Amino acid sequence: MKLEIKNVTKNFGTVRALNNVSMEFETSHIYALLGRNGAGKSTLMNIISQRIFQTSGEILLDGQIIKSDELLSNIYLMSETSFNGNRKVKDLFKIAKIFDEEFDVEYAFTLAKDFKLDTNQKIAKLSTGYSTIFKVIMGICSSCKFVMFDEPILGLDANHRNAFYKMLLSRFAEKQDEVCYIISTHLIDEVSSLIERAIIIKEGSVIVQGDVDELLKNSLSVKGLKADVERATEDCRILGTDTVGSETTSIVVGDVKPDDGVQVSSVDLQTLFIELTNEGGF
Amino acid sequence: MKFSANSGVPIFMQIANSIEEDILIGVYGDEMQIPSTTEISVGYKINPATVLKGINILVDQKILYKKRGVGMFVSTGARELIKEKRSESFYSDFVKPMVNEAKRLSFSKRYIIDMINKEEIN
Repeated sequence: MKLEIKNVTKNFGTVRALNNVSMEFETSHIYALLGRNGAGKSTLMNIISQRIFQTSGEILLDGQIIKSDELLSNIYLMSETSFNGNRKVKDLFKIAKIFDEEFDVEYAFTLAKDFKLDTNQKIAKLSTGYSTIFKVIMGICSSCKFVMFDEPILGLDANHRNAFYKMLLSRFAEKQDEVCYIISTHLIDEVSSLIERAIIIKEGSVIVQGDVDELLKNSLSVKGLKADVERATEDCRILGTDTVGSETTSIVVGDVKPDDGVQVSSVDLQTLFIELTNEGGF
Repeated sequence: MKFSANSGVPIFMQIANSIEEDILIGVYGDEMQIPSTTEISVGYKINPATVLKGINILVDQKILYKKRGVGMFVSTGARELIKEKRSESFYSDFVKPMVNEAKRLSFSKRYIIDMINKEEIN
């Protein structure tokens, strides 16, 4: 199944939050939706799940404009939006089944136990970490094909983050071709091995999207004396340059000229992200 | 196995290298089954497509082969194949960097050879 975002623009009054963004999500793949604070990630996810509406553009599911009943069964957004705080965890697991007949209640209770989430606790009484765990479980157990996680590791300790990654991948393996996970997070280093494709948003526009290995294949870090680095990277697109003492490091895209004076190495997703979304200064 | 997103080597290559390493040291012998894509994916928190990409490199090199519906197995003679492959890159992977470092440290050729002679190699 394919979810297409086509030329979507969103204005909040005179502020343009999203500017003509287009992208595709397919089941059987895990995506990262990356961007700095205020880049428009949450706005985009809220539009995809039709909690808010776009000013212009279309959301298509397998080529058809999405209808409201299809929306419920195909797209799930795990976000800050709170559930009724007076309800207990176990009650919400059961209520979920009313809206989503194939919600996996049994698995929800198993996961709650694995994470030591007290299902008799009221939602409002959960700590930041457990509130996140609860929302993640709701997403994982839904029968939706497209599940979006907005900051799914917020407030989780290292052990719980580790458990979340394993749970996500094991569920993904079970569901095979039937599910697409979209993870939006600032902890890029932690999720970079989990994802296959990435979309980077800057100031309301998509600046990069594609297979992570492909993105990284063309990006290099070149280190050495300033003059040597400049000579070696003449023909490249320079994303950013840093200088410490008399050592210069440039992050570039393109063909680096062989030069004995410079050290060339590959970059990771987080480094590439920082260079692509920097606005000067620090 | 240990994988790192910022080691400078793509993760799918790290997967291939690590399985090779396991075959070389005898963790997986001829005709033995290696862990499934899902096991590696969940166990090491790596996207299954990335795991598969790494495994497929070894399938292309005939180090692993697929038994339909069962899984991935080590080809008979895989260890020899890996040894051959690694022999070819031994000079560029190990000798060249060693010589470069030795030059920076102003070692003489004699000094390096003496060091090697101290090691027991048959």
